[in-house]
Amino acid sequence: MTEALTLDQVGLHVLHNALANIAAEMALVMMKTSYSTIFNEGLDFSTVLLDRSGQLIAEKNYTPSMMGAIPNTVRWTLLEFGEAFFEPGDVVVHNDPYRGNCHIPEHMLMKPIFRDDELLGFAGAIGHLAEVGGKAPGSFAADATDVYQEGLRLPPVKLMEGGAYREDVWRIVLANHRTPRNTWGDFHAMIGALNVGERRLLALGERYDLHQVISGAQALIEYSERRLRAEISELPPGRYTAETMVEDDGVGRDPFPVRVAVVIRERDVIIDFTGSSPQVRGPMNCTYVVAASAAYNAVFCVTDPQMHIPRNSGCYRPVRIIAPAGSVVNVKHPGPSVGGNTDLQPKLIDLLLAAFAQAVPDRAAASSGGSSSNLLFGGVHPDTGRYYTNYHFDGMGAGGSALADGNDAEITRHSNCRNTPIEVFEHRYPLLSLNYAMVPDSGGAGRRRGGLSTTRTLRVTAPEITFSALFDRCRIAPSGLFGGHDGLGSQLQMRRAGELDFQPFDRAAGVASPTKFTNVVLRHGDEVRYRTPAGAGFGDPALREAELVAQDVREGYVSATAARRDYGHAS
Amino acid sequence: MTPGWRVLNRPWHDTNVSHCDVCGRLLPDRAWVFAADGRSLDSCGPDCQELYETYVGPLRELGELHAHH
Repeated sequence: MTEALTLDQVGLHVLHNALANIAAEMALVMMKTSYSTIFNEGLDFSTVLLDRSGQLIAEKNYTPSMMGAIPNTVRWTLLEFGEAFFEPGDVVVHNDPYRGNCHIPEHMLMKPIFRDDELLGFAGAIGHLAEVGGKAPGSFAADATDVYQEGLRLPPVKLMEGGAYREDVWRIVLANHRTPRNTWGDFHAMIGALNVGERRLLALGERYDLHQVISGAQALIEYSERRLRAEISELPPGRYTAETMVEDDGVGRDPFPVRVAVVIRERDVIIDFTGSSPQVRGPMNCTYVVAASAAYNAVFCVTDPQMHIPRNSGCYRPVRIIAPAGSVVNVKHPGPSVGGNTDLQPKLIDLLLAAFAQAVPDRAAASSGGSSSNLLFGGVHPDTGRYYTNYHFDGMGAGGSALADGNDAEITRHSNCRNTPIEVFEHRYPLLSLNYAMVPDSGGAGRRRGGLSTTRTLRVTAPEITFSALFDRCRIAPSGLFGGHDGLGSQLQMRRAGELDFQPFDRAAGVASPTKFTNVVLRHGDEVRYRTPAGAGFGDPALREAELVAQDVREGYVSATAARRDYGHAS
Repeated sequence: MTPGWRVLNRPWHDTNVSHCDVCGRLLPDRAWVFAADGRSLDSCGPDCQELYETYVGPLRELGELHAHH
């Protein structure tokens, strides 16, 4: 006996919560059962439910950087292969950056949900696998010049077929990843999440009439679209432009421009990246869906920062994106793109908010640190004799806004990930954290101060590890807004065991770039010290309330010297 | 020419992909083809033709779009 589900405002609210809770439970399964710290500590994944045509109906979006991929990977796979490609019990995997994914490490697993022979929709799990092969352990080759150096590329193929392993596909995948045990565990965590999503959606269809659930999901999509269009119609119409420079592509040393025009119309907004640099040789290009994620992120920040509107495909419809193919915001084969997702995307969001600031200054923010400060390392663990790799990031500062100071030690506004606790980090990997702290005076001064960056020093405790990095905002600092000061840029250095001074990696290890390099061999006792970039300030520092400056000095966020210099504050 | 759909018949072993000439999105299975500025454009669908006619085309006429697009 099914319960009635009336599709009025109350009924839709109940349905939205039910669908969102399914996605949240899927996420818990992934967190609790995965092997890699990037999933169970970092939460670098999202879980979703989609309808039969691939439209998003509910999400647990830990990582906003995946927003652009989620509505496209499944839909484009459906369009390319057709519905008949999917059979009950199948799980399809897909990490192809040219077919709708964010970059090579991001893997979308999708499972069709059938009742009898009727395809109802899809459960999806998208996440950053910590190691997928390629030229550098950790699969983050900062000096890659094509996609083949970045790891194993999978167009949509079946991992499971009719509920059974496609062993040939698993064998290829596991043979090409450096840590196959982790891949095995993480893929099974994702598949477990999909199975839970399937079971819960079918159970919802037992409790209520299934076709009412499907109709209700469609009504929710239309509701979200109406709500977002209404928010856009409140913005001042016009064309607002902004431009930024990215310091290098990881291969050359030249900066390149990214440009955007935000066009606010009566019922939609156009995000136009025309005029941005042609795609670059190194991995700082991003894919179309990454540019789309940045666009959605900025539009949602400006129109619905409290997330009152249910996040589904309806929210995406009023946002029109132009990202010319072959440019740095829409890489074409065989261009590399691993850093575009982590380090160009946050700058695109900053750029978009700078454009929106001309229309709605009270809703924008100054530049964030704008880099995920990616560190990769691997080797044979001396305690276990097993090969390990890790993809690690630490928090940076967010930009100040009209409403608040920027967040401190935040792992980028587009990734929203957690840091890995030192206890877990040191248990899993042969690196000792000698210090880990926020950096006083790093946040750009302003009426609303930029968030502080972080610093850490690591000492190698294994005979040898292979170390790679992709840092940015070292030479071009995060920029202040409306008179706010720039944030402090990033720094990355090393010191060989027994040496006195830390030096940049290009000098100490002979790599081309001080912040983007692969496969530097570090030995027992060597140390790495880094500082992530800080957030920039918003508004004239002279307008900051004296009691807030005093509090900053008291709590160690700002030194007495900087308080006098930047704020004219006598402490 | 009359705007209409063109199916992209790629053999399974062809790994190339196509993009929309207006917005840059992937064209997974077919293209909406229309004429503009004396050339034929492959696009995602009528929505992208409308985007071209109401935004891209007029800006191009004003010379505000950069050359590489």
